[in-house]
Amino acid sequence: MKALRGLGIGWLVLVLIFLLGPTLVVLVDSINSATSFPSPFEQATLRWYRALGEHEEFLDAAINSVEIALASSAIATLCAFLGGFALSRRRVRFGHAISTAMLSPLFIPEIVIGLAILQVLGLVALPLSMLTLIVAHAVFVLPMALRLTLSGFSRFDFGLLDAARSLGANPARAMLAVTLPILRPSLIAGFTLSAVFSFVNLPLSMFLTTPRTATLPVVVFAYMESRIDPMIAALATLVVLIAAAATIGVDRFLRIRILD
Amino acid sequence: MQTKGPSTSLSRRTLIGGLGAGATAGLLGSRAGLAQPAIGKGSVLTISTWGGVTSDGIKNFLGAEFTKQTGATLAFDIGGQGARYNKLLAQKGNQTADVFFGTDEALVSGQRAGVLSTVRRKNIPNAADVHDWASTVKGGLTDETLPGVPYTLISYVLAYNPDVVKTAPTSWGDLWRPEFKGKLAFASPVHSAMPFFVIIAAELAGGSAKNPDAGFKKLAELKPNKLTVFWTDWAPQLKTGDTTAATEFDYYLDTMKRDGYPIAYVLPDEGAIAAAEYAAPVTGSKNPELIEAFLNLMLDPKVQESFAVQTFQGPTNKKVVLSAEAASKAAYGDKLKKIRFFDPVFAADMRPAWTERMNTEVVPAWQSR
Amino acid sequence: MARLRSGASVSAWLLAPASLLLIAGIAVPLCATIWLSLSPNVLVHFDGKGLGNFQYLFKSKYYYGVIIRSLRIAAEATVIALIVAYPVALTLRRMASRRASAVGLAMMLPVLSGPLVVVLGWMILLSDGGPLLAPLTPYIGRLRIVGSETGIIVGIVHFILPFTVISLASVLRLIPENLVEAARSLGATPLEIFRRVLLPLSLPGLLSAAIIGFSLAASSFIAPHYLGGPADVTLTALVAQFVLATFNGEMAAAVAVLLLVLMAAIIFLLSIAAARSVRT
Repeated sequence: MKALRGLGIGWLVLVLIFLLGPTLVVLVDSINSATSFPSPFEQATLRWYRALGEHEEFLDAAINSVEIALASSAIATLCAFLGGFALSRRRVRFGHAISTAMLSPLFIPEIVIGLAILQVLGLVALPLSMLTLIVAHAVFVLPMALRLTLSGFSRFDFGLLDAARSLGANPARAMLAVTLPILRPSLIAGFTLSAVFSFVNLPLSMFLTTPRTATLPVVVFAYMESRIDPMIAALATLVVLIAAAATIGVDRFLRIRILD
Repeated sequence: MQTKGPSTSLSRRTLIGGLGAGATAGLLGSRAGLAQPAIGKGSVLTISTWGGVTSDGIKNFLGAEFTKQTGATLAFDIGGQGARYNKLLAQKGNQTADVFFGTDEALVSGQRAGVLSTVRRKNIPNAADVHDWASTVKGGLTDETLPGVPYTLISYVLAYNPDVVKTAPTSWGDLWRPEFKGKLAFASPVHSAMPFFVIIAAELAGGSAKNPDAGFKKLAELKPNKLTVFWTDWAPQLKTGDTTAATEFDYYLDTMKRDGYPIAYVLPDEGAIAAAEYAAPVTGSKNPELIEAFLNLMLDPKVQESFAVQTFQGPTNKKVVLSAEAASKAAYGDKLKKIRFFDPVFAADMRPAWTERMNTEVVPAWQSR
Repeated sequence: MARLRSGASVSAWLLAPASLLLIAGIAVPLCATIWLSLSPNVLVHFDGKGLGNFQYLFKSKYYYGVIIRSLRIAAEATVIALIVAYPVALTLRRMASRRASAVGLAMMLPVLSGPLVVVLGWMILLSDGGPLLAPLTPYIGRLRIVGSETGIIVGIVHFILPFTVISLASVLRLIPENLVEAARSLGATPLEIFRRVLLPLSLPGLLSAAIIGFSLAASSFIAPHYLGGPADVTLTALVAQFVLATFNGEMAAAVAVLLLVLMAAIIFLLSIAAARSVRT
């Protein structure tokens, strides 16, 4: 048993190395004074972080991306919670078909739907805005939130709801007091994956952003068409550090954890 | 939440940019009586352009001057040309952008689709100083009108790692050298230069632009290990030795040299491939005067010199005089003799069918690894 | 009877927000896309509306090859990711929530740094002359990972792995420990516990992980461009080419519709199979 557990930890460490490896290479380059990328390590410097200060478009874009990721994931998670409840509570007719349809955003190349959304908006003369971008992102992260909610509901005992009802709770209260706490881990995991997926989305945003709503991937991708320097590594490092700090804060003060 | 998003980001930018510019223009106006006709006071001109070098160059080299002249500020919709062009097509009649930056071929397509229009020549005095060879787009080029301005000339050339390659290449035919087998980064079929490589390869194999079959066959014999769209997608491989030769734009290669990459390049004997890049007016823009003021600045000798010296993009204004140092790095002067111009209309016509032929006849043969 | 009907209408209300979102965000643009996919274009000529584009796609050996390659790469990457992720999720199941979450987030962080940055890291690490392969070259010859299908798969597995781990772990952690304890006290070996208790109870999570992984793998387009070889064209690359280079919206739409139908069929069958095996 112990040996098994040791193997498990060993495997976990290997996987972590695999996952973090390429990012670490880039992060090291963010404090390397060499101007080209990649280079053998020359000298430690913070000049690439200072250089970021002259590019306020990165900051604006990062703020946009965070706003879009949080808003779209919140919308998607709420929709997924309600829809997942309905699909799991009893055998809904065509349940598999409906849940497959709800996953469909995952199956279509985003670049095509991004363009199609842009064309439809053009046809109905709706201008591009933060709202249209958030809704588009919400649609595309919905499958993630829904899938995790559905697997959460698969372990949920709906008899608990009847028990709550028989104790006098109305349906809404039963939902809040019974379902929500039990589903919490799945909802948090779904929200987190959705937010991450939205934060790094390029193909949708590429078509749906305006100068005011440009997201970080759009700005970084455009920058990297003509430049590749350690400043991009510095930017990635900052994103990772801030995200890490934010999750530690959320854990500490809100007691929200991705694997509760 | 959703409405808060745009309004905060809106205020964040326009308050600083717009108010700042408006206040300065207002102050200047009141102090000097009526110094400048502020045609665009407080308004914003949206530029659809490439990110990085180009958008930074516009901001740094002419952003302040544009605001000083017009009272308006610039906003940037940045991205690859393909994505931005699709935005133009989809937003017909309700455009985000006022000015579109693209290759001459994109300009031809945009004019045909009706999303790009013309400006009045008389409002762009600098256009009189533009070299004749720069105006590769003939549609909209009349005594009264211009189809936008060709603000730079860059060229697509043959690059190699001088530390590894003993004999420098001189011809496009050297791409087929055995030593570059599996070591070559070559223009992807989606690259703007693709149709011209078909023509060049056809000519090397005894065909021509009208008779390109031999060209496709010849291209299929290449052994690239990387298809490139941007120089950034093969640059890391140059350092690790996986790539020793590449096709790339001259100004990116000069950037790489400056940054210490082991790279050199030649303008091949058959001619480097000219790429005239335009800034053009978007159909239906509400700011024609601002567009014209902006386009005129893109041709300004000082602005063009800055682009040439700092980003190595060749000037198109005859009045620009580059130092020997700067001239060695940009498409300029005698180098023009080794740069070959192709017809963008022909490229636009051929691209769909030729891309398909590249996909079906050439790319499957490129299983070099 | 009355109760049943009200139950159904409640279900409908609960499904309404998600449905509205999907109708606005997917159904309408999708209809536009399908309409477009039935239209002639610069590449394929026919009169009126028709299936000409699809015929063209199926007739061409090249496109057929691209479709097969894309699905194969996505499937391989998904299977590898699931095999790698499951033991990780099992380990996370036994950890305290704070530590498990910390590990889960450490796995997500590279994703946040952006696919381009990650891919650059891989190009450096995995290139022939890079720090990992260059020392090995004298012993095993040139491995050639960057610029091959292997390179693409490494890149895709790396991208989808965190998503599969979290999907699996979040379900595995819902399995009560006393079930496992009960099995153990009845004399079950670790392997039997896995086969009889953990695996069946985690099937919904496995399904989620497979669906999310497979879809992300099939739609990834940065890893194939940077890590693939010149001939390793995938469906997404093809779509991107039609959209961004030749502005052939009709063919892009046809490829997209084809991909949608294939993916939906695969996922639909997968979820029915999973539902069957849960019930039996």
